[in-house]
Amino acid sequence: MQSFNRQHSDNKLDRKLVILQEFLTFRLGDEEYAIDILKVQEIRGYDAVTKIANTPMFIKGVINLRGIIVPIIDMRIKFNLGEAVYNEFTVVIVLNIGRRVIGVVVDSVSDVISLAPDAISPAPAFAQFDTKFLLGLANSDGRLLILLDIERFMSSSEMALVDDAGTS
Amino acid sequence: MALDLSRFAKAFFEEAQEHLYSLESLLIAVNIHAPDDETLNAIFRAVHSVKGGAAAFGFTSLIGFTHEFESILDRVRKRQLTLSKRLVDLCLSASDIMRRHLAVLEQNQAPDLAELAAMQTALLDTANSAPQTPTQSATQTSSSAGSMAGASTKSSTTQITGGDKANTLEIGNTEPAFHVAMRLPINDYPHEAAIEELLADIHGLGRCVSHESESVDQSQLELRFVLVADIDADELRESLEFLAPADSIFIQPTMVAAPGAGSASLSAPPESEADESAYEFFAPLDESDEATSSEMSPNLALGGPFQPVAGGSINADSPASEQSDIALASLVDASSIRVNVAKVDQLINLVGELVIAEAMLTEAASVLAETDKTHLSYALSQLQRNTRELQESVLAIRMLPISFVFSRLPRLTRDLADRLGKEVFLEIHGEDTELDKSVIEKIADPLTHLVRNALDHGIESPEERMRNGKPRAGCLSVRAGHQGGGILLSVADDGAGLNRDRIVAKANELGLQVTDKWSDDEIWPLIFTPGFSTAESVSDVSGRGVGMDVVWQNVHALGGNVDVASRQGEGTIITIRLPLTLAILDGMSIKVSGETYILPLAHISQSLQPTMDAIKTVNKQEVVQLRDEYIPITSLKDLFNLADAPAENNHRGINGQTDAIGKADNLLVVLDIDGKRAALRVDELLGQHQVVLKSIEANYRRVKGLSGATIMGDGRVAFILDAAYLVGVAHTVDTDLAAAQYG
Amino acid sequence: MKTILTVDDSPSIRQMLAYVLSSSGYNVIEAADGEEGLALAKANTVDLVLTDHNMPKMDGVTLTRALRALPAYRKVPIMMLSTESSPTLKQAGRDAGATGWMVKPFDPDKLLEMLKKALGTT
Repeated sequence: MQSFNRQHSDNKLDRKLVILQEFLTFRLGDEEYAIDILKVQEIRGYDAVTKIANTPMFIKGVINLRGIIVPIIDMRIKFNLGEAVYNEFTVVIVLNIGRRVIGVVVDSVSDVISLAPDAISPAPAFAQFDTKFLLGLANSDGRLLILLDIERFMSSSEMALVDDAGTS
Repeated sequence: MALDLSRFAKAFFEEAQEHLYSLESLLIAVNIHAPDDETLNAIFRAVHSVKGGAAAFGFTSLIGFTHEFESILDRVRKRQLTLSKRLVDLCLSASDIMRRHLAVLEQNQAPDLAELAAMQTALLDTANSAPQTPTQSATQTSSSAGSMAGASTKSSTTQITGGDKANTLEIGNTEPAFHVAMRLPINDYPHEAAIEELLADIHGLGRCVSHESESVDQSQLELRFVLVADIDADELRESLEFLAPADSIFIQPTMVAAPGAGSASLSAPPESEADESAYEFFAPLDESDEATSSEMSPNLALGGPFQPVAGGSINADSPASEQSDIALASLVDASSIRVNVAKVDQLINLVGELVIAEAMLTEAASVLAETDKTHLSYALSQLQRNTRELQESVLAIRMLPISFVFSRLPRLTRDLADRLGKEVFLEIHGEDTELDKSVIEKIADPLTHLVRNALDHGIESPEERMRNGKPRAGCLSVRAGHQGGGILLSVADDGAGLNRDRIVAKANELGLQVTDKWSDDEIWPLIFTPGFSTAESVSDVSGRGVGMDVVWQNVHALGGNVDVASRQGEGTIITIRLPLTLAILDGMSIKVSGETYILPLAHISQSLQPTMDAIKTVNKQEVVQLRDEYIPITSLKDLFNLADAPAENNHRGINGQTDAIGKADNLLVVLDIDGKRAALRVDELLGQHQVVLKSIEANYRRVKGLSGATIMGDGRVAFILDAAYLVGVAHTVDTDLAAAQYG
Repeated sequence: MKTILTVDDSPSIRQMLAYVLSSSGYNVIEAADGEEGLALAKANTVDLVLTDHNMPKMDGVTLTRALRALPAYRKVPIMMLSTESSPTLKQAGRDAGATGWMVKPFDPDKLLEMLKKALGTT
């Protein structure tokens, strides 16, 4: 199992200005996605979760990550891609979104790549994604990568991970 | 010897703040019309203590001020001055100024002397215009004729007395000067002319602005004068030692007004204080009354450059200022230590891990053979106990009573009610409720804002209240307490209530699509929308459209929630629910459909296994008869949509107590929230234990029915059930319960 | 070593006095009010008493009077250290049997000089 911890150098980098940006790539079904590596805290295996009542299927539940309670989202269920099986090969990417820690389940993690801005082209409309959550598409060694604005996506009301203003 | 006393100044500042705090509380609590001696004495003592400290540490700018303040309070306690609301208001303002002044001094910055002087004048004016009790007026002004400062009135130095309005307190041009007192052999100076001659000699050193002399006994004469001279006190002393015995010379540096300035130095000596020397021996200790020893002769003054006492100086170069310049040297109070919060948090995290490790160990031991177990069990139970105690102690470090926040409310309410022309009775409950330090800090402002808002917008004017058949004075009730594993804070007023129409109108104005069909529960939270303020006129108190949204944000940042309940003409209650981000909870672990949950033990009244006929169904709501009461039954399985059959994952209870209470059909746990009860259907009771409360909201949203989570002995997460919610849900369908009860 | 009993309700002033006095080789006993001062004076052999006037429970003048009533304290120097300097109060101190009066703030050197003189160890 691959595993790494990163130093968080500068989370505030404006992705539109940065020359070379590093992305972590992962697979969901047949598609390959890439997210800003600075949002990634660590990658770990899938542990038993504690289910939360009355939540959408893609919210698997919560785990204990060294004393903190971390929700686990299965992206495969959310996007209806790949097969939601849980075994010793199932991978969880632990993300730092704002001040929150969230785990996402993907099929597999591929590698870390660097992309220059001109390698990124605007994203066409996708069936499963609102384009506002996409940074664009990129071609890396013949692979088509879908660049996901993971922060924006995870903070969206669609994910229901945070309390909306006004709900009580 | 150069002793650095500045390191004690920090203790003085802390002490002074405490005195001011008690001064404020006492002033607010005192019954103006019938004050009791004890309170008046305590009020006096608070100011007196600050004065004592200020004097001891050489904070000259405060001495004169506190002296006047104290004099007034002294007259009040001696019933020479009648307490009035105006006087109390003024004293409170004076206390505020002192607080500010102390803060500035502590920061080593230049104090605003003008502010101090203005307040001093105001205090004097009030004291003079206030009704005086006829018995004896102003002892302060009549007590010390012939004192040094008294003598100096003839010259350009004016003094501040309790009775003289003509005194100005502006800080004019001043010049360095000395109060000098010295003993001379009476035979050498038989008449005034000889003294004049001596003074002429002294004139070489500076300008002698006033003098007086009197014989202290048959052989000695005391000469007192004020010398305006820009020289060193030691230099002056040396010169004077040619004229009089060294140990009979007393020199006190001071400042006097420059000729023509006609103003007093800020802390000019009040008459009563400037009398005689600062350091003196009385008669010798000999039982015989003979005052023979020159060492111990009456009024013998020791010389030296004392720090200004009553004749305080505002000269920035005075020794006193030097002292405060280095006042920030680190000082640690003997009874407490300051620790970086990060260190405490680290400790708390570590202990949390330790608790989990301990639980894991206990669980691992539970599977051992009985013979091996006995060796371990004693050690393990010891470890368990120690771990719990350690955890409690560590958590307690961060806990503070909410009184830290509540204590500022009486003053706030008083000032605000005054300003708004309202009458308000403030009720505070639960000020001992302990909250985590960080929560206290973050909740202070929102809570204060809610109180302001209730006073400003909630409670009506006395006239309006009378018109509506309400008592003149509104009631504002602020409460804190534990509920459902969280903290509940509420601010309730019996005012006008929220105005539904106005909120709807305002919401639409802000572009929100709100219709009249919305229920109250949907309408009220709109007041938390940014930019929302329905106040008819924007007041300087609370109505600037910032506030309620900030309250909402702050509370949510703490993982809490705000609820509003309001009824037109009856009042408004705003409830803040805060999660206990750091706390331990006594819980009962239960199992439902294979999932483990924790119920707060505080809300469990009993568990029971009723016979089938004790359970009835009323309008599809199951109820259980418990003595004379029908209690609604609520099912987690239904509420949480859990699987029917117990899941395959039937893991063991946390500390090997799987067998503890056991599994049974038809098992109910009765929950009790403030007397309101509901029965929860569970599959299994696993055992009681303390759990570390973890926030779900830190990384996820608030979940209905759950008040938090904890980590069990096997490292897995278990949720803590929100008993208040469960009971509430059970009762939302209980309209027909009354019928069952009587039918 | 001479023992000095300091009586003052302000902890900061007590701390400061203790620091000044012990730095000069005096043994210091502290009391927070007149009552405690009296009790400590009875329980210990004290060479000099340095007391504030305005304190809760028992003030300095009363303490002085109470001490003077004790045979052991008839000759022990009792110095009053106060912000007060009104003649009436000083007279009260003198009448109660105080040895001397010092007005706060105190210059540590002057304070020590006074104490030395009072103790007769100049």
